[in-house]
Amino acid sequence: MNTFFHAAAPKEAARFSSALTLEDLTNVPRVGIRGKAAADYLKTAGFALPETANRLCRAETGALTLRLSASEYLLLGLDADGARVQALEASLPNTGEGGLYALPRRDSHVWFRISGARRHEAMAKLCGVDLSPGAFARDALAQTSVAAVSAIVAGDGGGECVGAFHLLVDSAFAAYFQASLLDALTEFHGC
Amino acid sequence: MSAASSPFPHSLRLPPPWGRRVDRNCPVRFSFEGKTYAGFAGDTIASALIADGRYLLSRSFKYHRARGPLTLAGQDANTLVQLPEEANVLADVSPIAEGLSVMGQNYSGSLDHDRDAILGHFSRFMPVGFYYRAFFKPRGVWKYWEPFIRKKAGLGALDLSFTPTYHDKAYLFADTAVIGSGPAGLSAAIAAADAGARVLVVEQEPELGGSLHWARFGLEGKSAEEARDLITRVQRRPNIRVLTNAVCNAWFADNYLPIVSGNRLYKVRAKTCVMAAGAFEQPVIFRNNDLPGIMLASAAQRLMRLYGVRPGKRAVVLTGHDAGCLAALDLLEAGVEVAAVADMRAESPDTLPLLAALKAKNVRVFSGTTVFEALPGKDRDGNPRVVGVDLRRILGAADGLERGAVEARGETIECDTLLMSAGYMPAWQLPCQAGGKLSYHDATARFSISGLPDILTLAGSANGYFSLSNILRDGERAGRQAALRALGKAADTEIYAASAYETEAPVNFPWPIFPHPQGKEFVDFDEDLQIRDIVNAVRCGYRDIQLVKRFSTVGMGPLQGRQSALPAARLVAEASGRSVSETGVTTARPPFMPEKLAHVAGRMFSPLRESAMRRRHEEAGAQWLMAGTWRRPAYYGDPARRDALIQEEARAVRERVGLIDVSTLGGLEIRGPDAVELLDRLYTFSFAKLPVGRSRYALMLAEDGVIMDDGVCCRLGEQHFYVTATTSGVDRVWRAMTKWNAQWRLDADIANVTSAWAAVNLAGPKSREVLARAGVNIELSGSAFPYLGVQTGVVAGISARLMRVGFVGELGYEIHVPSRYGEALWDALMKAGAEFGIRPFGVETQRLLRLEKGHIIIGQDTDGMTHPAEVGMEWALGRKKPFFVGKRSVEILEAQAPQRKLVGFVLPKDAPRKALEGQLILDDTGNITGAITSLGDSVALGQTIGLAWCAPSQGKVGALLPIRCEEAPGGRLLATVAATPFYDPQNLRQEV
Repeated sequence: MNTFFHAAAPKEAARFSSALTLEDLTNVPRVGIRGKAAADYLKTAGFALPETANRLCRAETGALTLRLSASEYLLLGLDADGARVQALEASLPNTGEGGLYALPRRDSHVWFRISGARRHEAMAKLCGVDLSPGAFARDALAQTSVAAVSAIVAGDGGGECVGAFHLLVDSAFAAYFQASLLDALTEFHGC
Repeated sequence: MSAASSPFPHSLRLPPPWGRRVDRNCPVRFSFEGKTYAGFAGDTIASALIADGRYLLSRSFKYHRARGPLTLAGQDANTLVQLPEEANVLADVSPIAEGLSVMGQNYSGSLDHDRDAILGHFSRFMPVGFYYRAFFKPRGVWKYWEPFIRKKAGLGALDLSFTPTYHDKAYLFADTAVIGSGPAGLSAAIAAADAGARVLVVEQEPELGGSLHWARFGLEGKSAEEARDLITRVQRRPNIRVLTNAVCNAWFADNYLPIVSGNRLYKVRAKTCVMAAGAFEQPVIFRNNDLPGIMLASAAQRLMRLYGVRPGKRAVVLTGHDAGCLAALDLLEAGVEVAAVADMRAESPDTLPLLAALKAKNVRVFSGTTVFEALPGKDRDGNPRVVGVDLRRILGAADGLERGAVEARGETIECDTLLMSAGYMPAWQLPCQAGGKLSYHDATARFSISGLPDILTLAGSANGYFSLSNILRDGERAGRQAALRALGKAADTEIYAASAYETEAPVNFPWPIFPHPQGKEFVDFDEDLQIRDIVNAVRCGYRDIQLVKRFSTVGMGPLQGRQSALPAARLVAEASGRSVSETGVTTARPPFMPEKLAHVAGRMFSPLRESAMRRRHEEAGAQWLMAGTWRRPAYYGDPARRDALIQEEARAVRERVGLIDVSTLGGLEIRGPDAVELLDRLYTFSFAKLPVGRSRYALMLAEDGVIMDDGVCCRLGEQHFYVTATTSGVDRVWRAMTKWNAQWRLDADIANVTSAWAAVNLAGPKSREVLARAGVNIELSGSAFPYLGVQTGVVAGISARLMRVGFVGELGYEIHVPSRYGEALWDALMKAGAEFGIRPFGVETQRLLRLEKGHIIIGQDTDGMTHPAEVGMEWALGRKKPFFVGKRSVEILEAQAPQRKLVGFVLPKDAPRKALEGQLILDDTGNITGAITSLGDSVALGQTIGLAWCAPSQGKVGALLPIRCEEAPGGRLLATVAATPFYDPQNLRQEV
């Protein structure tokens, strides 16, 4: 099967400086899952789950599990867990039965990561949620508006990053959203 | 720098340490009115000009009187100047820059020789409100006045070739925001930070410290220097963020504070706020109080301490409280001759330590005395400037006279500078926006602000304290209390009870207003309003201060009443027989300082959605249209050939095959045990018996029976449906679905997957062959994959959902694939269709094709009142169902006589004019009965067709339908009502 990616989303990281880095992770596997049986299904598959909504947890192997509501999860297949999340996506039934509903997050959402110490300053130009280190925990996530479009903002303090935000927005906004991010980050060039 | 080595021949510069703000190692040259001046980095335009002896900076609004700096703090209109790209720049706060070209504004001829200054001689013919009472009579005369008045109105000139600069906005968050960084603000910030709060300090000036940098707080003048240690302490606190050169321009609910800083507007969210914005020094109102060389006492102190510039060589100080005396001491320290201090207070100089100290320095002190008139003369350049003052003893009420009366004779004293200070008015604007009430105690002439919300605290002189020790104490109290509240901790009830503050002398002289028989005692410098203007406004019947403002324009200039609100209130109170408290002041609305529209607009966010096939459309020359937030191809090719291209695209679909991107169509996955139940209740048709692998038209009504949206419902499994919705309607449908699902407590999952799927409609008689050529793993014959069939399979190697639908009325396949493969699908189909003459077609073409089929577009052919019977869609109602949303309303509506009807029509081929969408439908008597909703030149029929609302009586097929068209003979076009579909009424082409 041929694979094509969104024309609007760049495949390479856009690096500005050591202060802030913007990466397009749109091609990295991810999947959504919700329903009464979702939590048990994920536990059986070996994923650790956040205890409350609007929190995330990170597997040692890289995967981030975002809990978006009482019964909805979003799995981001970072690092070594890309294949694992991809396998999970393939295994999910899409019959509407069994209280388990797959959500095509890989196609419905683009995924960017902003990392660097001043990331919250850049985000303050786009988002009305206080994402500064003291106010927004590293395992917190916000389902809010960024650059005037609905977005999931997830903190990430582990892994290879000193500190990062993961941003997931409707994939149709990819070009617009990327331009908005670049515009906000330009100020921090060379800082 | 010695005078001999100075590059500035007329320099009034003081040696260091005067001039804390300027860098004497960095000279800067600029021009004003075409003449070159020099200053230092850190100078403002005004300070550099004054240093060179140039006082005349502007002309007043109405009388074109010569004006010089009044406040040196950006609080007056006297320093408005013109920069190349910007008008109305405040010269007293705008820094100079190398090569900067500055001009005066609002003059005729030159700033120094303004021909319009003659207007001042006619002021008696321009009383308050004359704008409203002149120029209208005799009838029709306005058109003669208007060009003249328009030419004279307004200040400055716009540069229409100006290139917009980048402005943006950002949020800022703090536990406690401290507005103002004078001694109270610094003290508050440290206390709040020490209590554990995240603190934001907002300072209007370039550096922290406020009045600590220029004010004198005592006889020795050392205390401010000691208090400047607070600045370092603030800078060292890691939990304090400082914004300098930043103005808090308003207070909005819950401490939502707009802060203008450079080209950015910060939207601050603070849990608590300390307003330590200080107080505005007030002028004394006497004749010619606006002459260049007359300024507030604080302005002279700023000039000396911040910029190292003497205000003049020989000064008189007019004061009503200690601050003026302190300024006189500063003048002496700077080497300025103080010819006299006129203290309006009646107390003996021997009982007032500062006056005694001035006498000890051989300064002539006049108690109970005011300046009755400032005497105009010329400066070295021949421009107007104060050259002396007429001092008079104050008489007034104690002598049985009106307040403000003075002795008939006085003493004239020569001077080139006059400092004045009548007292202070707290910075009331933002606290009053927060709901505070500004009160004035007539007996003591003190202000207070009460009724503030708990999350806002005043501190320092804004709170009525003027001694440094009290200011520091009050700042600490306010900061700590604000921080504790922000952190959710109990208030500190011990900190600084009222008894802990030292007693202060009054700072406001109660009546610093001295009418002169010849007038020109300016109450409002911005608007050239004199005492008699305010008094006459009251005499005209405008007793309320708000009405006085509107009639006289007092407080409506750039100053926004900072120096005029109090004297205006006093005059209105006096003229109307009330107290100042009863009179009050005018409402202080945002913004606090002038702000640019660019700040408000900021960096606009205009979300734009694009399909995964965007690049291919661009390559094909798509012309775009917006559908909600989506950008869609309207048609492909040269816009100059728009109509022809649409016709060509339509012909390709009818005769061969076309491809349209329909990714923008809404996509909803409905899954779970109650999925079918949910759909049955939401849509008008029944889906319980819809077999897996089939689709059905889906019409959704609102509860009032109005058509809300439509689409196609595909059954992919027993408990799995894929429902399409209109591009702009899907969000509304999703909201309705989730609401009803929750309300009915059904076990169904609803997912809006619009962006997850890219989709195309492959349409035309050759579409089946193209699809087969692209490679598909399902049987495409009409029997295996009939009209309204749904299949999942693989197209060109891509997993896909395929639907046999017929919006454009041809054999066609809607193909949905995961959006990441959208571009690949497009490429594969275009490649496969090449030999069949495939052509991409856009939304405009699709609209024409569907019009030929008589399909309506929700939102274009319907409105917010349309119910199914009006558009002939009774067939889509599942009347046997016990319930669907809107069913009862539809039954009620259908029981009533129809009011209108949507009909198809054709225009004769020889119609004299083209019709247009939106044109009105008329009845025989010329009354409006409807309008055209859709219109197009049909390729298949070779004539213009359309849909239109009309009266039910007009809707019979074959009836003539008058369309109002002013360009047509008789003002009408005559269409003929036609049956729909216009094209292929038996649907033979789409169902093959």
